[in-house]
Amino acid sequence: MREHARYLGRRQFLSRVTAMGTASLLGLSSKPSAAEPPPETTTIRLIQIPSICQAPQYVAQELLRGEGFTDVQYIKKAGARGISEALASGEADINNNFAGPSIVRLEAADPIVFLSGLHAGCFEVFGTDRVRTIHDLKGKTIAVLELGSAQHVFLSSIAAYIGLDPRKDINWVTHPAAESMQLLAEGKIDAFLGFPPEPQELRAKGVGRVVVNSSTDRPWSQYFCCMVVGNREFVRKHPVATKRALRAILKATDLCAREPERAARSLVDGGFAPRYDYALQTMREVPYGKWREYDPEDTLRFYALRLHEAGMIRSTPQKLIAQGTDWRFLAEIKNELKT
Amino acid sequence: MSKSLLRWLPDAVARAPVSIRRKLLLAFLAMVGLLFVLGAVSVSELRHVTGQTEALVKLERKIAAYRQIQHDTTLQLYSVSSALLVPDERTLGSTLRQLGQFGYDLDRLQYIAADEAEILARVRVDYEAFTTVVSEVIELIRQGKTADARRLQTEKAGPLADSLERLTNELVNRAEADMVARIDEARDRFATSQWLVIGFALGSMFLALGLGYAISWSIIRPVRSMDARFNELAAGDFAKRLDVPNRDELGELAANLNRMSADLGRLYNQIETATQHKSEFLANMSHELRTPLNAIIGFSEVLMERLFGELNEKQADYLNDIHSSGKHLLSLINEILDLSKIEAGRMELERSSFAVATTVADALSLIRERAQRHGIALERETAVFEEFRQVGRDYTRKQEGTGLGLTLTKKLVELHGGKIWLESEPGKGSTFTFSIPIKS
Repeated sequence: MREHARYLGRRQFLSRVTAMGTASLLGLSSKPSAAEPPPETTTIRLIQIPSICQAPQYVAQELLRGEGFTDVQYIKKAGARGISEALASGEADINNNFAGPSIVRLEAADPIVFLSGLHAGCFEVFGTDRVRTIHDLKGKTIAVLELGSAQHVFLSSIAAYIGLDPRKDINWVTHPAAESMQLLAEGKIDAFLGFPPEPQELRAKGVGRVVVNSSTDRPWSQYFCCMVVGNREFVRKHPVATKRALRAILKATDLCAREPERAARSLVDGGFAPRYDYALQTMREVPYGKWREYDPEDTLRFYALRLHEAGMIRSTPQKLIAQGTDWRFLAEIKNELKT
Repeated sequence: MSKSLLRWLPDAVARAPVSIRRKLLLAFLAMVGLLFVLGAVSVSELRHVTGQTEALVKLERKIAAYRQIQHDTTLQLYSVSSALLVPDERTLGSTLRQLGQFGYDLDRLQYIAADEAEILARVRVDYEAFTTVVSEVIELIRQGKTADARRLQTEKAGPLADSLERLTNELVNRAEADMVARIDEARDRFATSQWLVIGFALGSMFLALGLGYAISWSIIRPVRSMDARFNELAAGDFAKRLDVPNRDELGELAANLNRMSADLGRLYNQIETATQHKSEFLANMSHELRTPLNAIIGFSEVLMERLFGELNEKQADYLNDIHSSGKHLLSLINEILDLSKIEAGRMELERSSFAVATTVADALSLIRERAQRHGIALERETAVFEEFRQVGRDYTRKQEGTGLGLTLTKKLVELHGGKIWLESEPGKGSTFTFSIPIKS
């Protein structure tokens, strides 16, 4: 299902006004760079999933228009797998995606290319009283959306990091996120990995305890969890559009960090988040302002090593980096957007 | 296919125009060569494994050095926090000393990981900034400006430590990625080496078996052919030729055998012709001799019957000698004639009825006493069937008979399609046995 932003409703109007106003306040002009040629295409297709850690690309709607994209489309998907499939098939052009699952897809020869890191620290692992450390996950039951989902890949990496074999030592069960949170509350599963706004909701309800918080707990806090990934063909054919889209998203990331309230309001008004309080918490807790400091290539290297340890990929980090990254646009944008 | 290959291989080796010694030498050299290559490959792989191990050890050293820098960073932050809590001179001095230790470990890092110059330069920059900030924090503590010191630590030292941590993380990850790549490479290399060694081992084995098979059969087959050919020659077949593909010593031997066979064939034909001429001559001679001999025997019998008057005692003795000598000579001539006929192939068999028992009894009565009396040594048993050979205990003593009886007997039995043999023991007598087919 696609939602085309062809006319402005009340929410869209407010969202645009908020984003444009914030961008202006932050000095993030939405006017296309005069020195740059216009994008090769005026249509840009992104994906909308329930997780709001991807806020920058939703907030970037107006910034994308400012970069010359007159047709900004958000294609609704259920989760990270939808993002990977849409990017690989060319249904979407560019999107934020979770690092781990994207690496798995890259190894599976999906035609995708990593363009930049976006932010670290969005996921949290919740456990019952039976789970105080990651090692306690041995022999326990963990709910994930599906095997191969972002939850499954991240939790496998976390378990493998301390020597557990995620394939043997953990009993995986599959449930939708809402159902998993209910099962965790009832003690019917032992752990659950959530993406915003799920951790915020669990904390608000007092369900479970936080075993890993990727925004503060090392080593996970030192790496991007979400990265900007493009369809390889789109990037090859539309380098100017790619750079402009990436710039809009990264500007929006700054915006999320500097003006969390406005960003949260924008998410709710744009229909990307149902609750303002959870959205605001997310904007404040996820370290959106660190995309310049972290090295996306090292994130790729780190997660590739962890997935290699977990037996989920066989390729070396070097090979994956060589075949699936393009940091040219990021390097240029970093220079342009120096703070 | 496999049969023709099994046949083709020994033939190919046999046709090779080199000596057997050289063939064997080449085969051994080929196997030694393969073993040498196998050894060289193994040594090369071992060298590579050693190189990989050394590289992994270096990577381990790098990672240890990186971890030490991470540890230093954390320790530094901890020391500054301690100094903020307990701002005495001893704690401050300890914090400053740890800065020196940090620098020492950084120098170690630059020595160990010289190939990571770009990141190390960034680490060095962050380290310089970090030491400056920490020194400022300590100075502020000394001045009693604890709040300013805490703010400086939170706002500058903390982020710088984070940055240092990420840089060292990157170094660790790079080293780990190198290790993974090297281990994968080693695994691939091991798999390749494994198949290479197995291939060489199997190759050596098949080569050894193949060469062994080909060379041995290139020798055994012509030897067997020659053995069969010798048997044929022994049976009197001089017409065939031995055909072996060998171009080595065995080939020469086969050619010599063929030459010898041809020579023997020619000689045999000549001997056969000469024998035939001899027999014809003897037959003719016997016939010519018998005519006057019959006259001598006939006239001597007439005289002995006194048809022409009485004889005195001396004349009667002489006549008796003439008559018995003539009879003996006639008997001799008859036997020679029979033998010649048989050898010349002129003796024809005629079927007729006769009393076997009476004939055998008559024959036995003739020879029993002599057969019981004489025994023949084993080594001479075959000689009794040869022409003009008389075998007895006393070889100097003059023997009775012509020495043709047993020769004729043997030839007659063989003419009937049978065979005759002898069992004898000196002093105990002899048993002659023959068998002939009932119908032929």
